[in-house]
Amino acid sequence: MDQIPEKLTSGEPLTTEELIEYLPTLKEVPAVLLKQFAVGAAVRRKFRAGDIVCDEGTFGSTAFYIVSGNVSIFIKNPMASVKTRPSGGGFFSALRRMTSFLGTNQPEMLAADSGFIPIDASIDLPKETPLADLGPGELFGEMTCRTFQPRSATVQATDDCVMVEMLRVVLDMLLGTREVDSATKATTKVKAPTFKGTSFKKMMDENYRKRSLVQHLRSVPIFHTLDLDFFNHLRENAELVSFGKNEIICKQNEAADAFYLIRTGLVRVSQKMPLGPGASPTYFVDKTTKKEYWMQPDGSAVEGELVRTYLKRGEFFGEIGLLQNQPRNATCSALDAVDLVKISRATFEMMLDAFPIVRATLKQVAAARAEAAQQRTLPAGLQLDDFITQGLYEAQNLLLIDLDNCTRCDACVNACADAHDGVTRLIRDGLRYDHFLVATACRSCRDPLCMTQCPVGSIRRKESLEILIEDWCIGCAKCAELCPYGNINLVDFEMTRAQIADVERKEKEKAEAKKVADAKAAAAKAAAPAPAPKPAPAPAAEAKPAAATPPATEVKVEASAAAAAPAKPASAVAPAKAAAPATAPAKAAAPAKPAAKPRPKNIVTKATTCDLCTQLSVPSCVYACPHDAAKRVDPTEFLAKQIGRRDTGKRFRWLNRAENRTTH
Amino acid sequence: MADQPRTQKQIAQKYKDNLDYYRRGHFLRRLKLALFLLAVIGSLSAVFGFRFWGNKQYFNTGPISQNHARFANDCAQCHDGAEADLSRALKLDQAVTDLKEGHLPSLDFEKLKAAGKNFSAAEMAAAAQRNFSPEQLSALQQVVIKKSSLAGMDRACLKCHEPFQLHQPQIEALKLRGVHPEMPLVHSDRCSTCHREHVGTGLMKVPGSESCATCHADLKELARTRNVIKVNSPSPPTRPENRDLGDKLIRFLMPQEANAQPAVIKNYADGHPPFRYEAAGARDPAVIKYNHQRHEQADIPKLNGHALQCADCHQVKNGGAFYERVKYQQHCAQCHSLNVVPELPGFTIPHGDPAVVRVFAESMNRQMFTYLLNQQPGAAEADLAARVVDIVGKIRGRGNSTLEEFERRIYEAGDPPRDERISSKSNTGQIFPPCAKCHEVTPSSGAALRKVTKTNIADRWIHHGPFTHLPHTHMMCIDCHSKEVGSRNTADILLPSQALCAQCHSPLRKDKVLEVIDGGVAPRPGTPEMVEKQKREGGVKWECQNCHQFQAPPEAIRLLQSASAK
Amino acid sequence: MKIDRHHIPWAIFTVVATIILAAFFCAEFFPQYLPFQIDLPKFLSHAPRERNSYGASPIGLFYGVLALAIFLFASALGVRKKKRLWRIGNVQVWLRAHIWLTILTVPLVAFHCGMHAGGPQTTTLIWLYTIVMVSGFFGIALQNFMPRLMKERLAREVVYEQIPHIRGLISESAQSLRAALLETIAPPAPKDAAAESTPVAVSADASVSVILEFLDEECLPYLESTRHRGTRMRLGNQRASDDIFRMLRLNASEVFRAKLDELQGWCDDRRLMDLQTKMHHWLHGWLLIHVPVSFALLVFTFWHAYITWVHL
Repeated sequence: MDQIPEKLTSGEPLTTEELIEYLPTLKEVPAVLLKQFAVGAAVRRKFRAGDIVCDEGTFGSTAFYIVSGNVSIFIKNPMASVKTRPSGGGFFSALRRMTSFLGTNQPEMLAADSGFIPIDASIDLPKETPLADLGPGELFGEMTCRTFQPRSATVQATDDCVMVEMLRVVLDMLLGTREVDSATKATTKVKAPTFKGTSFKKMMDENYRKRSLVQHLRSVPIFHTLDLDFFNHLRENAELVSFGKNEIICKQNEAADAFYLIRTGLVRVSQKMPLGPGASPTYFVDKTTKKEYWMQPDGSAVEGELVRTYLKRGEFFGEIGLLQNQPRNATCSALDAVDLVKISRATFEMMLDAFPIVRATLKQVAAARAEAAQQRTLPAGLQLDDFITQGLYEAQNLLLIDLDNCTRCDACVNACADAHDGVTRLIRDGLRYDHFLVATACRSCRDPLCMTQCPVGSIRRKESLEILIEDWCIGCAKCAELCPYGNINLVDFEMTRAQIADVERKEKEKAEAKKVADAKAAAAKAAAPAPAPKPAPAPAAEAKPAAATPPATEVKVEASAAAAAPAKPASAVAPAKAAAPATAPAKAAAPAKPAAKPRPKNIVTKATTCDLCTQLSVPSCVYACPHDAAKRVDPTEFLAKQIGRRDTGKRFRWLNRAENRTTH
Repeated sequence: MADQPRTQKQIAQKYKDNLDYYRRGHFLRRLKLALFLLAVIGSLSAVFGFRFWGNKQYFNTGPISQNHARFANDCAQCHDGAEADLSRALKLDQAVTDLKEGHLPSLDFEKLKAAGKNFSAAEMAAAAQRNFSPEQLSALQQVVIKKSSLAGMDRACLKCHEPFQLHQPQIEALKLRGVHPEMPLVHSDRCSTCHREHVGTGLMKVPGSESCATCHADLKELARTRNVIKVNSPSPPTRPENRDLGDKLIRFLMPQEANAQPAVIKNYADGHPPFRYEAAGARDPAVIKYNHQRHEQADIPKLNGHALQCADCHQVKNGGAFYERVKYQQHCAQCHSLNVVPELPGFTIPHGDPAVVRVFAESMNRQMFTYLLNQQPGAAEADLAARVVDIVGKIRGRGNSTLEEFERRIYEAGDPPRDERISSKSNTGQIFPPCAKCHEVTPSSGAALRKVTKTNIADRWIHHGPFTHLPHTHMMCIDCHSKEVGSRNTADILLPSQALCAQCHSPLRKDKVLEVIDGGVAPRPGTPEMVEKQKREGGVKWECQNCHQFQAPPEAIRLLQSASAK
Repeated sequence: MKIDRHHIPWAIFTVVATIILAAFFCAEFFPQYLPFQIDLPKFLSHAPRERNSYGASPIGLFYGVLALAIFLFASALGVRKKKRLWRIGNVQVWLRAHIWLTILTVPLVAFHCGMHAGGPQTTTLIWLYTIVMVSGFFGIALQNFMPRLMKERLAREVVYEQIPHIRGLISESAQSLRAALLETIAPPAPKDAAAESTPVAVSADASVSVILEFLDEECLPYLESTRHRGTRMRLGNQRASDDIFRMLRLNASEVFRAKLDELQGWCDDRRLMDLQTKMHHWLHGWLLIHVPVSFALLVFTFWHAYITWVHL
């Protein structure tokens, strides 16, 4: 697919008439505008059963509307991830249990883990069998079209079907204009005016309300306990609202009126930080994170919007105000096109009365979140310039290496590799801060940029500090590109038998799920262009990872040839100097060309990042350091103690709390 | 200029396509591995290669004494190993030979029975028929079994050296077995405890007192190693007693206190127990009336022109290790003659058997006639006879007309009897003294013979140490036997105390050493000054081994058997 | 490992243990030197002493076995370092134990052998032991000051084992730079004529050739040379290379300032990496002796134990 379409080349272009025929609601749009913009911006695509409509991880700029026929949506990449291995055999694991009484092996809190993978359609995929069907009248790929994310899932036609593939313009016509991010603007030459949308949106909402809302609600852990009739009640009363990029959903210190559940999109939760008393702030811009700070002369306080976290599909917010009858304690704004389920105060109250457990859970979460809403100031006595420039202020848990102790024995790196199936997530190099080396390993930012654009929401943070990349990562490299510190790497590794079996299982289920005859499906599969997820035969499996790396990644590039530019960082061969994310496509395509070799089928690419070895008491790297050099610390407090040597006592107590990690 | 600003990400980017470097080999790691393997292979091959090409000297911990020089390259001669011990622990072959030679089998009967098939019925019987009292048996077996627990190295000594199994009993203890109901048994199965090898060429050093002290200075250790067996001794002394144990030597014996714990001894001067005769209530049981003090007095008539001396009666015997018994004929008779009449010197009453005395008394005339005949060979018999009659008449005239009277005078009264003498103090005027003067005479009624008790003067006072006077010839008698002076009673024991001996026989008292003796002349050996010096400084033979020997003689066991067989 | 306050308890332990060992040793062999009397437990003291050697006396044997056990533990550190995931105690704790317990073996060994080297075999042992200990102390000393030195001397340190890779990257990009420059002075095509006529282009062209010459003569050979040859080159010397680049800046036009900076950056990096390699080898070289010899020591110690057990 080419991403600078004067017109969409694939499929046959639609005249306005045809378009209106497929999408009647477009009649509501003034014919002039329709003529001006819609022509060529939408095409008819015909797919035979088994065809891959779009492939997960690839980049695109179009949405699809199913006119006829059915498609199945699924995640092809096997559920595979580099897991942190608990320590060795039974005896030693016992030992570990003995030694790791400090361990943070707390059970996951409810609010975090729903059993569903959010995708770019009106439904979610259940995690254990990531597979769903869509029928006529469905729209998918909306987020890709708007926010230029990679495709979040693979869509395959289960029987012959006809679709309308459309660009933003048409989407806007249908659903009303929303702010677009620059990237998308750049890629659609169409100078889009603003549209107020058509009844199509309502229709979609209705569909959603009818089919997906309940399931969606259920996918929210705190609602597990609710019973169906209440869901029905909700279905009637809940209000579906949408916001464009940067629109404010609710403002700090305003009255709380509703409880929000995120349907699509990403919500930024940020807080104002009041100045310290009698401060005459000076302006400061962090070069790395492009953040704005107001600094007091003594360098103690920082003023400005500070992002606390990002909430994504399936998460909820706004409960604190309702529970505690207080004004909003944070500002929530849409990071991109956001659809919300808004539950009014009354309904909320009613729900709480009916279901004390829900109340309890909410109170729990709310309390945790409220805890952290406090004033934050910078530690005194640090070399503030570096501290800000290197983004240490953002970090919550930093891997520091004391260069006065470190004998450069690489034990930490090896330990990390051992702990993660032989793949290190740690690079023993980086900038220095005083006599510490800030190693290149995830620092658990307060403002985890990496999480903002994951198409499948597989990189996320649960109720504890670490940032996890879930099994269903599709290796699109968005996060790696986003991380300002290069802490996320893409690694190719071979599937284990179990994973291969997993893929096969999915295959089978898909086959069952299909209405069409097996024979037909088989034929279709044979015709499928994209690599079938079948496990590879032995020889490929034997290929040793080192050797397998370059071709694999290159093929990755090719696979995502739709948008070579953003995919570029994903390709491991990108030389260090040419790190600019947005390179010209021509250049970007270059590395993709020679890589025509078939990618070994049992190799999958996954993003990896430090998970703080959560199920171990101490991170392996720190535990393995023979020289007391590697430390995993909260930088502000630690460095203030180490270097500042001033009183850092209660002013930073908030930094130690676990709650201020994911909260608003 | 060299430092362009870099971001963390740029740094990280450098490594992006080489993330698995630690999987690939690297110079330093390879080198480390290579050297390690080298060490592994090297050391292991060194160890195993030694079996074939190694030189035993490699394990030699020190130069070997000339006694064992010829084994220098054959470790196995002595170090024949723990497994050799185990193989030897059950010494059936040894047991068979022992049985055949009529020794005590060097293993207990359980093992013997277990190995029954190796023995003929006769042998089994012989083994079973050892008529020991059970405790002796067990004790002896202990000894022998202990021997079989010799460490390999110590057993190796027995290949050439006589198997000394016992430290006790020593030969003297065995001699005294008749009078001591208890006999200590101490096994000595550890040659290497005292004998050091690999400490230098030349002769092996004789173990010093400190070796003995390792046991004898440690009561716990003594209690552990020492065990006592009961010997059925016919007549143990109940009081001090001089007895001949059948070797023509009269020994001074004290009753043995039962199961006495040995003292803690470091060396002769430190902890050595006093001699038996020093014990309270020890007295000389000899039956003779002798007063040393009297004989030292001034009015004692000169003998051969000089005043009486110790040497006049105490004379050295065969080289001077010990002294002659004091005999009447040689010593006493010089002063105390038994002449019947002054006219006939040498015509004396026989000293000894009362029967002989009686015969003499009855046939005095004929005795005298033959005596005179011997005196004057040519004289006419008639004159001689006349002379005999004359003399006998005189004797009779002295009042011993009858035989009874005569014997009374010989035994009890003396002639002339005390009341007829001028002074009872001296013997002046007495022709011959009565036996009872010195001896114990039991009177008899009528014609029966009197009895004179044997004197029974002890020849040996100490039995364990081989004491000899020879090295002491440079000393005066009274240096040691000082108690003699003023001793009136026979019962006094006139021997030096152990403490007295220890004055000289002690480790050198360095603080007492004087560099220059007054006058600047170092005392020559054998001079009184030397004695003074030695008394002051000590340093004269004080090691245990100077008097005692460690190993019991090989025949100890055999003697033990014969002793208990009686 | 840096000797810091964490080591104090260990040090105290070692000293106390040494004193106790010495006291027991004297109590067994030289009671007269002790101000007070110590009654050793039966299994430690045995009179009469069999074998008049120290090592074979119960207490000597005990010390020997103890020392051997410590040797084993010490060598177990190697395994522990390989098995990084086993949660059997922090590696730092292991290392401290490794250091101080092995220091404790000094009195143990001394008492075991009664200050005598004994025969050739035991002498060999002593020598191996000495080598191991000395190299170990040397290593500790290095680890105490070397890291700080590296921190100060190496402004831009990299991962040691990555150095070949990074040097590859550098020379690669140097090559590409050269290629890029070569393109700029491609045989003049007519449409370039206009561009060439401009003075900037001319000076640019001139300076390009200068830079190219420099690249071919000095820079590329340096970047691709081995460490040892590299250090002998002009660019291998900080001051010399600074001069060179100063000259270049004079000869080349402003346009290439950035490129030259980059170029100099590469050379400096390369020089630092050479230095780092050197220092790294210093910091880790002692292990090449320590580890193998200690293994040999272990083997020989076992041999010694076996022989004495079997033959005494």
